[in-house]
Amino acid sequence: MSRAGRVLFPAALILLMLFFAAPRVHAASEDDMQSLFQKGVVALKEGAVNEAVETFEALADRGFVHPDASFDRALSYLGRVRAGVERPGDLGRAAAALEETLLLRAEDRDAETALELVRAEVARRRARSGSSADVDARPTIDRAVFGFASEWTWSILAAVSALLLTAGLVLRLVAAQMAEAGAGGTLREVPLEAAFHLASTIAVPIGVVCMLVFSVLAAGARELRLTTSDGVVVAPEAHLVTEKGVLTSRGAIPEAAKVELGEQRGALVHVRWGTVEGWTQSDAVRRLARP
Amino acid sequence: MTRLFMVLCAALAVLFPAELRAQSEPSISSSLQPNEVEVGEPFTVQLSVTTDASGPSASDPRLVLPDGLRASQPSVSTQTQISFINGRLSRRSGFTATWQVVATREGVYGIASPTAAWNGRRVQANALRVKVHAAGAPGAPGSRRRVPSTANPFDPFGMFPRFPNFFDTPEQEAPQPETQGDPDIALDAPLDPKVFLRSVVDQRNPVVGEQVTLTVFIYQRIGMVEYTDAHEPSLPDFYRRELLQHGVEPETRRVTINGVGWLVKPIFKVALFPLRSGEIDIGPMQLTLNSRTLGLQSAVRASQTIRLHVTEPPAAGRPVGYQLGDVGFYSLSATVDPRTTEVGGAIGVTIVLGGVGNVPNAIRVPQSSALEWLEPHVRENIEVENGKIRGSRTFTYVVRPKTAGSLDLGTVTLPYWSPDRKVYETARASLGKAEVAPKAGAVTKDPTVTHDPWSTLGAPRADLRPFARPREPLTDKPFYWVGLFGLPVAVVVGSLGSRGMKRMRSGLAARRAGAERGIEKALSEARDAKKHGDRMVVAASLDRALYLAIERATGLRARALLLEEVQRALEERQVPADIAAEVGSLLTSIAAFRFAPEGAPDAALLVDQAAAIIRRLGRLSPSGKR
Repeated sequence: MSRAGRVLFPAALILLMLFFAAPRVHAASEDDMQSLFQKGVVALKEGAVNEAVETFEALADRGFVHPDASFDRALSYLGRVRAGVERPGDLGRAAAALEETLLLRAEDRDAETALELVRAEVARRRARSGSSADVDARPTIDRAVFGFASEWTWSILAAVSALLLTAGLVLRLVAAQMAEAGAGGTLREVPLEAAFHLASTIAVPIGVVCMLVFSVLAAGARELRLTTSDGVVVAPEAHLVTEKGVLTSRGAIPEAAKVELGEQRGALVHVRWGTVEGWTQSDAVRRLARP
Repeated sequence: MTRLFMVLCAALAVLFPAELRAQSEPSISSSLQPNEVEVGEPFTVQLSVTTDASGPSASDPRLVLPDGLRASQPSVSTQTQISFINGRLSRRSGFTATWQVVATREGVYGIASPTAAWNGRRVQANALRVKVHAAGAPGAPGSRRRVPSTANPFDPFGMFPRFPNFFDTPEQEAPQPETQGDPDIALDAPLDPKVFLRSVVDQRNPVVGEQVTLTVFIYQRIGMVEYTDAHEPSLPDFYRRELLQHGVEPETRRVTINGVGWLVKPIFKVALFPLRSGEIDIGPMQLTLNSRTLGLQSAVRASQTIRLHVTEPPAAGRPVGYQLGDVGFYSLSATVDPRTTEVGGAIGVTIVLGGVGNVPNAIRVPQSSALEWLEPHVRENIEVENGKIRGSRTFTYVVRPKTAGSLDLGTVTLPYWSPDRKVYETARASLGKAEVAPKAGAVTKDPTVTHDPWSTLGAPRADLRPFARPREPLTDKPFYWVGLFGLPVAVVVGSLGSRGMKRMRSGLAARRAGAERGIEKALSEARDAKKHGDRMVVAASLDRALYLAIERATGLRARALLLEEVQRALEERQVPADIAAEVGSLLTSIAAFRFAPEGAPDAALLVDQAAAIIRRLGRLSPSGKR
């Protein structure tokens, strides 16, 4: 065997093995996730809430994203609260898991109800301690505008607008050609030309405006998706600091509040909560998993 | 002789009494009281002049003062003195001029003799001397001795006649101390000749929540001033507390401004606590004043606007839980009673927050899942001490234990900024522990304890149900954006291109048609000229027709060429050689027909030849090829 052959043959063999082994590895990984999930469920049902929390957190750490796993993780944290073995931030972590559930399955009513209970409990505790009871905040103006519909919706609407504009332009061309050929045209072609002209007159301006508006919204929603993500405060309060980590007086974001996370610099992450905006410690917030 | 002289003297003495001799010179004297004063302390200079009533009277008292002394206008009182001595009646009249003088700096001053006009000249009294000490200097006489006349608020210079017991006692009853050194009310110059308002703050650079004391003083020269329609300063960015007690008349003080006495009284005094940082204005206070003495009627006076530079306490070292505005000096104390209860029972926790400053109206209680803190009952006791707000707030909580055991109630804390020490401090009160026994009965009567807010939570999910994974957004695909804008742009570009092509084609066709018409016209003119025998016109028309035909067929403007060059130029443009040769030959023939008719071809023949060659040229493509 030549020298090149001696090198290439083992490499090809390894590639071949990898090719056939990869799906099995993936399947084994899936099995592990399933068994871990079942382990967590059993722990939760038996009231071993700390073990359940650890199991579901391990599942999340391995990148397993599923609304039912997130829901059970929330129940594990709430189990600690109910059992009186609550740790600071448990309500926030439960809220984060429930938000994650709703992000993956928006129609999950159980998760919605549980999230309301968690936020109400946080508000009640804050009111007792003399703090503001507001846990919900209005979304920022850009998120309110771009989030009025999904990014998919904006992109489809923009595409439909572009098609409308194109059709209008084509009709205009056809009508112009028919008009040029008007002298030799038949009597039937005259109303057709007028109809084309009318249709293009309506379609072109509507198409232009809609395409501009919807493409801007689609681009804005895309930019928001790429530069920010949703998160939840998982500390009793997320105190806002400057970029250098110095505490500011701009207020604090309460536990379980849903925030918008932006750029991360070292141990700090940029957060926006309604009109409150600043930097906070990244371990005070939990970034919601995306599928 | 000597006897005769003495007799004459005696006779003169009888005929001209002594009073007559005295009439020749008035009696004049001056005095100064006291002769040692402080700077700003008024003293009086008096000039007394008496003359015989039957002689010319004295007038126009004058006092010339050195620099450093200022005098008021003199107060002049006249007097008449009648005496009956040794059976003789004498009558004298005169006046006493009194100046109120104030020294503006210390030193020993010699005062030139006061003078008065008498009988066409000025008569002068004795010179005076006064020693002026610095204000408040040790051993200065001013602190021990006051000019009695200053006790009269209507006559600060003591220019009115003194009536015993009229204005002597008020000095004791309503003290109006001369406050030369009080920085709150001292001024270099009055802001108005008669009456004015002036706002004073004790500091201009507070932090948010720190007390700033605002006092508005009314300064009045003399007399009674009534004020109506008072407008308090605008204070939207402050939390305020009144410092002047209702029903208690503020103390009126005296101050000397530029040597002139003023009465000063605070009319508005509040403790202000800034609510935000930045440049914050304290608005003016406005009063409408009436005073008959000062000649004021509905006169409006306003104090000045004061700008504060309010900052936040430093961010560095700020403790967690610090609430902006918690500034002062505070302490916390707590009592817990009882310390033994059962699950669902009640523990009373009383926390007292006290200190100097705007006492915070909330404290942070320790949170624990084993304890439920009910809404506190709050009592407050706020008072003013030495112009500072101080007091306490008592928070009474009922705490319900939710689990049994020895529960640590935690520690109540209040971080605050101490403006005096310029540091953050934290008031603490440890609540200690409470022993909580399990609930005796299984059923409790209090529904709030047994109510489990989490009872409506869903059950754990044992199965992983499918869920719709979101599709990859269209906007991440590059073709999406290309298609979005590319489609309409492509249609527009295509339309414009097609329109341009069409326009170009029609332009070319029009040009061709124009040339065709020109050729036909030229040939027609040639034929007409042939009939009329007009040789020159025949030649010119044929020339034109040929050149137009060449240009139509090849784009060559052959008229600019020499006849010999035409054939070669046509051949260069791919015109077949035979046609090119025929064209060259025909052009030569036409030239000969025009200039040398002898031996030239017949006009009809030329016209036919030209028409034939034009037809052949017309069959060529634009590039000249057949």
